[in-house]
Amino acid sequence: MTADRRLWFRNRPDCLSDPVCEGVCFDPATGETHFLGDLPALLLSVIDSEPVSVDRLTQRLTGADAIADDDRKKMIGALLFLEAAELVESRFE
Amino acid sequence: MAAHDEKISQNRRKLFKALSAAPVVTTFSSGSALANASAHQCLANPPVASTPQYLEPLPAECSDSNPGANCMAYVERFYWDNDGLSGTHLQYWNNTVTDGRIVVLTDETTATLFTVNPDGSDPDPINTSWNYSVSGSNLIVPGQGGGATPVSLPGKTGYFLLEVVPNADLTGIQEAYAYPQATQDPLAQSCGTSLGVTATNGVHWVDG
Amino acid sequence: MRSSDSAFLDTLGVFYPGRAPQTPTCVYDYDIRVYRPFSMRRWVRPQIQFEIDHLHPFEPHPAENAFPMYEWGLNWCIASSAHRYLMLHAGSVAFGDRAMILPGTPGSGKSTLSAALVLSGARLLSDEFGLVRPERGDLLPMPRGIPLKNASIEAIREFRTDAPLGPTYPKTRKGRVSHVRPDDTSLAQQDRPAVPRWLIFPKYVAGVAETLEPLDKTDAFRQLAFNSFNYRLLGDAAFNAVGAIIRNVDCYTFRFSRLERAVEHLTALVAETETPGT
Repeated sequence: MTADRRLWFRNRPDCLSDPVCEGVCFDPATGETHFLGDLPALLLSVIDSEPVSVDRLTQRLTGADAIADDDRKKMIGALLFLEAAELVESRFE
Repeated sequence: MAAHDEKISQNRRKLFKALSAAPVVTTFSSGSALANASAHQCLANPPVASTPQYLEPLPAECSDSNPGANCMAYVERFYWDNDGLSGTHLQYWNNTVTDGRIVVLTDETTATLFTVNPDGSDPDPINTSWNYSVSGSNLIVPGQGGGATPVSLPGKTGYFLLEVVPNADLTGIQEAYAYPQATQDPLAQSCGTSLGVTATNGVHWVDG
Repeated sequence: MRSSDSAFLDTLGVFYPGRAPQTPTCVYDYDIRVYRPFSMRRWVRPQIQFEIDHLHPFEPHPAENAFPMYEWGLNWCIASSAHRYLMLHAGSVAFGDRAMILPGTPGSGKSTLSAALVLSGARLLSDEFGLVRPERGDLLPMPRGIPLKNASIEAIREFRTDAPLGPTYPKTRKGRVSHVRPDDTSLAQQDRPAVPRWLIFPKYVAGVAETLEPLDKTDAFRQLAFNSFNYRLLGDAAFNAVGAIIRNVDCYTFRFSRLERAVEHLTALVAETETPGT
């Protein structure tokens, strides 16, 4: 999967999260409110302005270097959702 | 360090729980962003921007002998997918009758962002997500005005537009025409289609 | 507010007693005129025109529908200009200083339910528009006639035979319309804001047993934002305001069919919340 070789980052002000409604966030960069599932919300919480690989994101989340292939595919899928919603950006390594 | 380890441990638990769920991201656009949003640009400037898109045929009450002001149409836009309706995204456009046709989605840079009807009647969102249902892979759009026949749209991921016209003596809503609008990517809201003008049982299909 | 139509002014006086001064003594939000345009239609099927700040945003209506047209026109004025507030498409009533917000779409029964609650002692904050001050999170009262449509008129007459209903307008763009006059207490306290405490999404379903069910806060957020007229326009202010409301209220869906039972359910909810220790 070509997305596997991308680096992920968000070079914009942080989204505003609602403290009670999990996954509800407002993106000041676009003015849009998003309703995120658990996985996209979790990934967004560890993405910052530094472009990093999926492996690095996994490490940030779990402390481990790698996860199962199926789980990795799900993470990439969620990252693509986030990118489509203009919440994160990516570029190739 | 202990706090960091605890955070990692907490994230790990969250991750394994999250991996079992669908990666849903739905979006509710804000007005200030809307003007620059790709979807709005697409709708405001359809792919054939210089050629107005029309709704045809018009309902019987919307003829040249019936002034356009008495035959207003309303357009709603919703996002849905084959799993059901989600991330409802509502917008209205104020349409006019020109040469016996209702012009849609052209020159809408001043599109109204609130849901007061253009005729001044009270705020009236014509329908919302919970009034629609999904049957198999079909989206069921309820008939308007209590008694009209529901319209069934075959499963298709993307947006659809709903156009509603008052009945002849303006005492209620008579018809609902649904316009599915495919998109290349519903989340990115990029547009890859235009409204078609082929009518089949009140449903106008989409080109592109 | 100026008009040369005496029948319209009479109705206006019933719904807004003492609030239609003819002599301007302060700065007005809207300069509204309701009048019969001078044309052949003056004698044949006479019409009435709504003018706001010397503009005519709407086509003329039949003259007999002057009051509904005025109410709808006023809605338009507010919806198109009051963007310093978060505008909710909702009925809202208050019990003391605590507000119950009833968002809903046409046919959900929110106006009928709001009217029934007001006729049972709740204070009317507003129908159609819930005006929230984003910086404070409270609801500003705007007690006006509650428009009932078609079968709702009979439902309210059945609920309270002495309900203060205005004239029935048999043929408007919404069908038959009649307005419930706000009670004197609501009018007298129209400067007294209320803090949201309950958020209830009503749904009238014929024949159903009344059912009040807790609603997940994220769903409530989504639905409340959806029912806001200017959520998109206000951006982060709306996001924060909706979030603050959701944090401070109990959220429910409410299916109902019988007004008497519906009011019992909701007033019991209020009493339960007000009981110390609950």
